[in-house]
Amino acid sequence: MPDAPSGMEEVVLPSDLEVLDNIDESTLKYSRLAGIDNGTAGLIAIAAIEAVTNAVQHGNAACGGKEVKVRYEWEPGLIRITVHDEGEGFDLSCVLDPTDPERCMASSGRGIFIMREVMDSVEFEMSEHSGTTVTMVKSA
Amino acid sequence: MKVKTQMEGDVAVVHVSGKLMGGPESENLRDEVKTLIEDGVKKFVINLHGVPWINSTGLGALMAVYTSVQRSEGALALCHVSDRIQSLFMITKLLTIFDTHPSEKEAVESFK
Repeated sequence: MPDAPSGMEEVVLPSDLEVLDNIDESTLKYSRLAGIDNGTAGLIAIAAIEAVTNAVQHGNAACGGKEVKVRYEWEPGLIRITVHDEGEGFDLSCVLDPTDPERCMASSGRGIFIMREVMDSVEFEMSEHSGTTVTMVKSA
Repeated sequence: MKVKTQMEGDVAVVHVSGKLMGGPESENLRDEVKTLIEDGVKKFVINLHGVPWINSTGLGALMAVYTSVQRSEGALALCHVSDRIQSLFMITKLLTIFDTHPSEKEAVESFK
């Protein structure tokens, strides 16, 4: 693996799905800085897009005045992405398996599944007053 | 997101461009297909040449379109599906649901 720097970058974004292009580009960029191959970087971008989609649509209910904070931390062979919204959280046990035959044709409910399938770890921290934070980690 | 339909014989080729990611614009695709179904169209090709990636909400819109076409006893194919979108189909175990083709020509001819 070529020498890769370590670093951190944090962005504060409005609750607007138009930011997803920015998330896509940033995730690809920082994944590559971590020395992660292009194919895996593309998958990580998929997961990051899902996390920010959830933050915008569900966490912040697309309220223009609410913000989404995204932090990228990278080191050789590893990237950590943290997404924070101002929502009240949700019941993780209510997240069902979208690949279940009874739900596989549904038009929603795949975001968290996608994040968990792509990333090595996905952890949620929720607080009614401090918002929801999801931290995702992927190694090369 | 923009949609534009052209007919190739009895096949409706719906060209999609922009971001398929949710929001009010994502209804454009569903509305367009719904109108075509009401007009009696049975064969659909969704051309995703102008769509570099989608999120799960956009995938949901494709699923909704697929289901609508199936219910009307029609058939749906996709073409110009980017590697990123193919990856999403693979991750969500939907690769076998969608009939995908590399080109619009092949997608249209698949109905013959």
